[in-house]
Amino acid sequence: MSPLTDSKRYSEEINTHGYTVVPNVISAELAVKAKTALDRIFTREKIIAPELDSAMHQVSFCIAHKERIFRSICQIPETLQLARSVLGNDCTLSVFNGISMKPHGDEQQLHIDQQGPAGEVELLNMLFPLDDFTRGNGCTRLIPGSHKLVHAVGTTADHRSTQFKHLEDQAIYMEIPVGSAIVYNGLIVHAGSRNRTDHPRRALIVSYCRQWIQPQWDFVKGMPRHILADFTEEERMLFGYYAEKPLIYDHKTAYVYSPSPFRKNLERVRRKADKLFSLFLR
Amino acid sequence: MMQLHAGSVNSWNDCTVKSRMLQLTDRHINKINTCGYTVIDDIVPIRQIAEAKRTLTKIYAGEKNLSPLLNSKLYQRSVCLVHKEKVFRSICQTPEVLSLVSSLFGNDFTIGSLNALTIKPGEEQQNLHFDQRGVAGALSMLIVMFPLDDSTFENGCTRLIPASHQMVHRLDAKADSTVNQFTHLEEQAIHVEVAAGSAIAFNALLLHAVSRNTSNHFQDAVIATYCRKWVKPLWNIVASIPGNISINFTEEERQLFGFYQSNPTPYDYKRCNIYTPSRLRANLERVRRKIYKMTNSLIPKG
Repeated sequence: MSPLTDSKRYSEEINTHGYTVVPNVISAELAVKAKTALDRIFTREKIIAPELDSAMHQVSFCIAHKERIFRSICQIPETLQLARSVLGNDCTLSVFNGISMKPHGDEQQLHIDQQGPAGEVELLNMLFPLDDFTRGNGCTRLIPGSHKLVHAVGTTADHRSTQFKHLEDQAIYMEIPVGSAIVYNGLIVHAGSRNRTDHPRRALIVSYCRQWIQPQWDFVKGMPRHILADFTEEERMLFGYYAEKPLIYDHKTAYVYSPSPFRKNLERVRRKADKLFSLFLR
Repeated sequence: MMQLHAGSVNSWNDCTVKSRMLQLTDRHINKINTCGYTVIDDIVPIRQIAEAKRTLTKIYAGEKNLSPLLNSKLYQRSVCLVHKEKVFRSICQTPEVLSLVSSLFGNDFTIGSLNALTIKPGEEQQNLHFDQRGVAGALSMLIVMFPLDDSTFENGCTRLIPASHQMVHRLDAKADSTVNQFTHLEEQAIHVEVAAGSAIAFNALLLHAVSRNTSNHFQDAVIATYCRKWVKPLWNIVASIPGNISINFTEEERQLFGFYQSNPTPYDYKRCNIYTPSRLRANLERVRRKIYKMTNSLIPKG
């Protein structure tokens, strides 16, 4: 099958079942490199961010800039093309985390990752296992078709809440090998299961969202300049550098400003110069 | 004009008014889902309309030279009315509209913009456009236009294409009224004439435009957008309001204008952790971490 046909099939599966599995998107070599890089990050962050290391898992947020290898994973042609075909060409990254489910750690509760209109795809999650996902090591479980459920008011995207416990018997366990990816609608009810083995189960989580949705992370704000300078145009677009942001109004000058302070200050200087010139010209 | 509630929030307690509102809401929800728009009659009292018109004239006079970009020969706009006069905040909190929006979006919606638009005599016809991109048929943003003058065919009432919110647009279609991209649909347009005090509510995906004002009169309107909490609003109202004004906001208003909305979280790249934009929290977190490190080194290992 051609990549285009595959992409169409995956899109259909996402629409009907809420998830799909895309096989062989990461080479074994890339997976090993990514796992080593993630381990390095976890070791470093265990000391500087101990609160991200719980009894259930260790998480590392916004990993794109931490090791260059991760930037290539959120741009794997097959999965990026799938994200763009489902969410539009101007979709941006919402989340890019690394996670390690602890050996004999706690189980996650069934949850959704984002609220949204039932059945629509506004946030698309991709889970790239760096260790084979098995029932024993606590692979992801999910409820097929649950993206079409209309949730009660007050339903939150919280993996500690027991709001979906009644759906547990419908859960299927996603046992997939390293190199494949689980792609699922942000509305699907899912969770990481208990890791009963003696080894950690590591994975990368990448979420793409539609251009008009608030992403979970503001990747650009606070990003060190030397890292941003290294980003390609395509990467800048993907990480939301050019994404439209809500406008800000300057109530003193009754003017509309984009949130850029540079443009704001430039406009102020221009206005002052205009006033000065008009004084002389009068 | 119907004396339904006379703009009083106390009327929420009146059972007859409430049941009437529910009926109104059901009917309007069906119309919005099928046709993409609805007209809600007689919801803003005359005195509020008169006050809004008076206030708007004052604002326009003050901003005439201050913001030339918002004032052309054919129209004048004033944006972010939230903090300018209380009357505009009251208009966008008209109980029927809030009831309709909460039925559509749940109770955690926010107001993403509150602007005024005046179409001057001689205004050229605006190009058909939509206000926000979205999944065809889905409703994530609702635009509500409150005319302050009777909006008629002559003075350039809104024209729209019923059910066009269900159209799947080309990938390069833009939410931009300056681009002439939907001319081929003009013959399907209907002109929606509504009286001052009523409101037109429509899905932001619906194709619409202001028509030519062939009369000798100005046509004023207040336009508010209501959006689901996970959608990017058009305006960052919180960042636009001067601090001394936002202090006077009620809790309900703070929620409505997005004071408690969760924005994308910035990441602290040095400390590998989450920081909300609040400086206070960031500094508190830094102090906490220092204490953690100090106490951690004091505890004997093993």
